[in-house]
Amino acid sequence: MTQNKVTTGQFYSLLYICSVVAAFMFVSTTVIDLGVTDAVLFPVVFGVLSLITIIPTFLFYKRSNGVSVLNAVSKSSKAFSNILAFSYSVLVFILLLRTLARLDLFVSSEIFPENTMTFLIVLIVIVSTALSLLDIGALSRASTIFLVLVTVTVSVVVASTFSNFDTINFVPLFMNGSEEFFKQALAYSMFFPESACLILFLSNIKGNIKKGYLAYILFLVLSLSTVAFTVVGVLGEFSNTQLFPAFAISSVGEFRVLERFESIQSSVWTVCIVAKTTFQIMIISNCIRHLFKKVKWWTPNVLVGIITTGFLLYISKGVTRFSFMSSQFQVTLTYILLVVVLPIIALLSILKQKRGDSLGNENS
Amino acid sequence: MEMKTVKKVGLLFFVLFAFVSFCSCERYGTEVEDMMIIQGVAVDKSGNNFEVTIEMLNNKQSASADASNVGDEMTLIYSAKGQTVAEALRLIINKTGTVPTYTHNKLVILSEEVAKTDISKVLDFFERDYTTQPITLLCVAKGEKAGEVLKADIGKDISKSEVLEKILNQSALSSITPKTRLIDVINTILDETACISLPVVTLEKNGKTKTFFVENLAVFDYKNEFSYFLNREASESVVKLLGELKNGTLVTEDEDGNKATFIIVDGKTSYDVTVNNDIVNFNVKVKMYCDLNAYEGDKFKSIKDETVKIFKENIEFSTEREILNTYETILQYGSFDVLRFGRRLLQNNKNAYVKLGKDWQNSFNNSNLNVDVEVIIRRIGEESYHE
Repeated sequence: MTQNKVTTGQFYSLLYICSVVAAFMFVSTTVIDLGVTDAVLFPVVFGVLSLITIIPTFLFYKRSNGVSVLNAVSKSSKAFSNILAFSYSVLVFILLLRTLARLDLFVSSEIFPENTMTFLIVLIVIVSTALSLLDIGALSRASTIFLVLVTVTVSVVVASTFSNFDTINFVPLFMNGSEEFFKQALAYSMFFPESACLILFLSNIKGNIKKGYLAYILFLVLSLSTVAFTVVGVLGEFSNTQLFPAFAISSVGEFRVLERFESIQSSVWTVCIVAKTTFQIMIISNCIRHLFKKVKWWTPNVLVGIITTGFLLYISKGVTRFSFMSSQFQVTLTYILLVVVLPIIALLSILKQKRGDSLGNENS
Repeated sequence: MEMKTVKKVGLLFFVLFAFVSFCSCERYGTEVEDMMIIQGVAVDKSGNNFEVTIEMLNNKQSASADASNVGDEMTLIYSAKGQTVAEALRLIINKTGTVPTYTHNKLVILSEEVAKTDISKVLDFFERDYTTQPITLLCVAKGEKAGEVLKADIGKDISKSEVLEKILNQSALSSITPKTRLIDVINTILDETACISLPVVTLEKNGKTKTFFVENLAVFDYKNEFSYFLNREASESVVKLLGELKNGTLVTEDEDGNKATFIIVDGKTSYDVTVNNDIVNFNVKVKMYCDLNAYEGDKFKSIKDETVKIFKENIEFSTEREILNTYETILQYGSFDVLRFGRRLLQNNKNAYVKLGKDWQNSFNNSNLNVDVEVIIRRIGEESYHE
């Protein structure tokens, strides 16, 4: 990874933007019921899961002495670090496609319905590719501004819908049993694998990573629960009939002479999506650079941009291809590999190396 | 290549690209004149087909700098027939030559004939289309075709949909009819134990012109098909039992038969649900804060505490009686749960709901209602007060 240093606040702002965009772009599925009271507690389960799954990353951080994951692993096995880099690049590429496919769906249905918006999506890929040539520091610093923008916008939209809250929309918790609740909450959590990116940038972050992570998770859980509470209170089960429930609430809200917040909402979301896709292209390009050290510094980014555009043109053609990008199986598999398996493998690799080093010291 | 060069080339490329591509006039329908800005939609049956009538903004008048000099009507009316509502609406393009947008659509009026079919099939378009709004209001036309409501001559330079939207909003604010936005209606349809009730709009002759009139409710059955009408008093009781009481008016009498008019300034409904031997008992408490607005009996003198107490007792008694009568009527005419009492049972007793919700129509028919109305007379108007 690059050697640019960012503060924990800046980096977690970027992670927050990436995560909260996933919530905004949440598409109603047959697996997850967003219109019931249980949905307000789904983020809490996500928070607990995130605190558990981050443990291998923190253990790795403790033992790697501030070296980035790919460099640390390559010390024990060059081939193994290449496999790790390849795995990260493929999995983050899937996340990138998911983000852009959802944006495509959003733009071509909510903003410019009945129009093919491939042009706009290609433009966003070009912009994100160009921005990914900058360093992580620039993106993280920009994210702190986006964080303020998102917080203000979401607060205004939530406040504007206050008069539309209807208590009849709330049903008892665990309506369909606790087993169904946890099944849905886990399925919901799988849509937020952003914390997996932390291990790739450990060497770039200065400050208390653990405290920062805790604050990031708490703020994210609070935000997601607030959005879910608003969706349930304002829309109720109607939210399950909407493609983007979080967007649908903006058309209900009004505040004195101000009404119809869709335009503000969609523009702020687009900015955040550009930040997210830039971050994802940056990660993939860095992994490619680790694999192919002799390529020109800008080649991986441009290559990722071109391949992404090609895939998006294919996905954009039919709704079944969009469905695959959001299929629970694919989403769960990506999450498990990115958030659970890869950090554990990296940790085991560094532990093995340390043991080898200590055995070597004893023998000498 | 140097980083600076890449940045400069990239920026130049982007600026050129934006300059030639973002002029925003490329797509047909971007200009206001090319858009069919729909204000209201009326749906009628025509044999096996649907006939839709739309009221759209007259863009030529709206777009002119001085609209009053154009001379045309503020809105235009078009109709078309089709196998489905969506097709009929699409076919209107052939008459207007403009692109339809429902972003400003204020209401959907259903004829009695359409209401007698499963209206969830008709409403699917208004939920599925990207430009339709979840806050669109719904109502039923009584005695006329729905299209006639939009075609009615209610005066010059008036958007009928806008007038009707204001009337519907006001009747909800005045607690005459409940909220019937698309969200509310679809949520009711999705609630398996609930039935829809929609405000009824009628046309009244007012000299040469006509006026809209909204004062009661159309009740639908569990198949979402229209069943019967409720009168005004019953409609107001439904609002109270739904917990949507906000404002309104009340008329009562003192011991000498002098009439007093009260304004309801606030209201609250709370529910306590108990279940004994599979019989559900709904204990509903309605709290109303009222201000005296007019009184025939005091000859401009002060009102005694005794009189205020009589008013309070009379209002409590008459409101309780009206609510119980409405409840009896609803049970008598098929037990269609427009009060969403099934949902109240769910909120209070999940286990009982799971058991009784399967045959809710029967369980609701066997249920009991106990009402306790509490009136708090908050003010007596611009008049002296002595204890």
